[in-house]
Amino acid sequence: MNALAREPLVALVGNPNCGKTALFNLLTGSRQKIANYAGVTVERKEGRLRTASGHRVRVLDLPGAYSLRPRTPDEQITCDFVLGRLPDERRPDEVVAVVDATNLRRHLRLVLALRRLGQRIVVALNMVDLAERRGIRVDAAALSRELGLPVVETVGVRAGGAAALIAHLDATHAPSPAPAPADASTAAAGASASVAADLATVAGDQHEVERILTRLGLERVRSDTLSDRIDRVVLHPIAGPLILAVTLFLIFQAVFVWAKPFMDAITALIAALAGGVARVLPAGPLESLLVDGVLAGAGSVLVFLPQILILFAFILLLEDSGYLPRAAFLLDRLMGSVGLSGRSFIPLLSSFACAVPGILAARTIPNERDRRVTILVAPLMTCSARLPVYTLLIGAFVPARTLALGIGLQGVVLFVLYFAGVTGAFLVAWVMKRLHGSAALHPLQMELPTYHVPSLRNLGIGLLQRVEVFVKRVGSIILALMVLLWFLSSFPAPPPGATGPAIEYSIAGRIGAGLAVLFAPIGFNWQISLALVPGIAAREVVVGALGTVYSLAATGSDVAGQIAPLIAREWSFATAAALLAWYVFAPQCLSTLVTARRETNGWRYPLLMVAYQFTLAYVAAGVTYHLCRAWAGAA
Amino acid sequence: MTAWLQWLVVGAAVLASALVAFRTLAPFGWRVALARRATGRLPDRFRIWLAGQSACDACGGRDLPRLRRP
Repeated sequence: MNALAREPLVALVGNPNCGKTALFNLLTGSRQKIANYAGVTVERKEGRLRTASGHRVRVLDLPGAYSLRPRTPDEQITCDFVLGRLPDERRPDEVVAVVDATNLRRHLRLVLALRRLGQRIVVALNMVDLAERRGIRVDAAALSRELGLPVVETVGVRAGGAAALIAHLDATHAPSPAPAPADASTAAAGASASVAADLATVAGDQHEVERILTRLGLERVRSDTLSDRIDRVVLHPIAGPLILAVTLFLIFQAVFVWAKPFMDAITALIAALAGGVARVLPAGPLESLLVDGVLAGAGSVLVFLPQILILFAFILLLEDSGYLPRAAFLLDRLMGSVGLSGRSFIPLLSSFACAVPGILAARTIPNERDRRVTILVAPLMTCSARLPVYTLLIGAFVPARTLALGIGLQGVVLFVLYFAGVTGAFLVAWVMKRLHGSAALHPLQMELPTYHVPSLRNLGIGLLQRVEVFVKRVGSIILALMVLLWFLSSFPAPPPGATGPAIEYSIAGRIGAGLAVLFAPIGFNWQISLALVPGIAAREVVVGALGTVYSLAATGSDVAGQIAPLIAREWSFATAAALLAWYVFAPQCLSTLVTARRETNGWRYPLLMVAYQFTLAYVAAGVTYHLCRAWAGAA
Repeated sequence: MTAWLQWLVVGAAVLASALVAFRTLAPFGWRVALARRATGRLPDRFRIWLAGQSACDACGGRDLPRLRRP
């Protein structure tokens, strides 16, 4: 038996948005994503806790579940695990039933269902700080007596907020042999029987919860009046959508205005580095690799880090405040009209960061048809990898002019591009609805969490994670692809007497010329056509690829980090607009396709994604290119 | 820096980049197959890196013996 099997296994179970992941992070030192809305965790996460007396405990964070009768794939994971139905995993030695102290009426029902399984349970009374601020005083000892279970108070978002829980686990989980397999299967069978019986006890549970709340003097818990007052404005049928639109609009303005000084500083740093390398190293292959491949390629992607961080800072603040589920509520009717479920909002929102977590988050959608349509359209949301492409082209071709009320034109164009992605997703969903018939009506049932003042700690951790992800991406796959592209763009050397730039005689130059036949009708030159190929690996690579290709075609080392002025000279406005239109609908990066294959159990949907997105992108780019040319000709 | 040393560094960088690109972009099955084939020829740590951490995450470390056998 290995060490893993001997360590006690503890699972965090509770309703969505009760703070399980925040507790998990506190217990294990992990940095899993947390947010103030339901459905953030869709996969089980594992970590290790070392208690004060040195015991090691395996801790699992499970997706939120309202009951032990799963309705969605993520709830299924939790129920299968708790009931011991997973073939490769034993049942937990103890379940930590996490409950929100501000909403015991709903959360205690799951505790009662868990209690019937006959497992060892400890109740973590979470968010006690928030409850106290709202005048809700829960007597943990009395609750423990009523439930017949140990109860500990926790605050998942405060350092040291899990001390009582850790002390409990320390005391109850001295190292001991794991239960024999026969025990686990017997327990699982018993659990299944308990679940069957549970169907008849829903009303009984509710009655029992009311009895407990009465005994604790909590039968009349005051609602959060501040949240209610805010919601009267934010969810107003007219003011609500307006506030949402203005919020998003201002975010895109800030992305351009606030990021500029930081981007200029990074550009200057890269240019200085390129100059330094050119001075220190003699002209040759190594100097060309560092200047044209590494600095001009990977460096030109790194420049966009400030913009990505500003966008994510706003998204994290909105997430932590509890505003995002309200946005889902506001958009529910619109999404329903195009055949999307209201529950599609969170997966689609996650896709603004990256389509991969968005596709995973679609597990929270109970209806299979809705889930697959959401997976199909999630990549049309503008992921952060597209942001460098958009801002490069906008910076190069859209003047930094201020419109009325201090609104910048560049921010407006960025907003329009994001809006175009959303519109495209809704159109595709509508077409799917027409092709596959209208789905049954699935009304949105989503908990509206209490508004929180966003935590600076959460914001800092979230931004650090984004920096880590982005820099790791630039330093690994983007850098690797840039070095390979440099190699393909540098060899073979041009024949004696060649008159054009050396890159035109290279392998990459020939590939680009071949691809240009396909893309010339939509206005793409061979450099763009070539850059689209590594862009399949990750979309922002196209910026680095353009940096490398143009750097090798130019003379001197002045291109590094300054690709915008160069393409502004070389391309027409029609070409730039066509490339922007292409990237609104651009075909997937590979990791998205692989994730879609895994989540749909086959290649049918990923291939459908590639086909429809390529067609949409090609048509959109072609129409944009020819309209712009016609407009320029008429002007 | 002499010319041959420059070419050596450039060659190593291109080779390392090709490995990183393969490791990141190649399908999971290809990576694991290659890692298994390299049993005995390449260090275990390198083969596990090549297969991808997900190969280990997916099996909780239990698949390492299989990874060692071709």
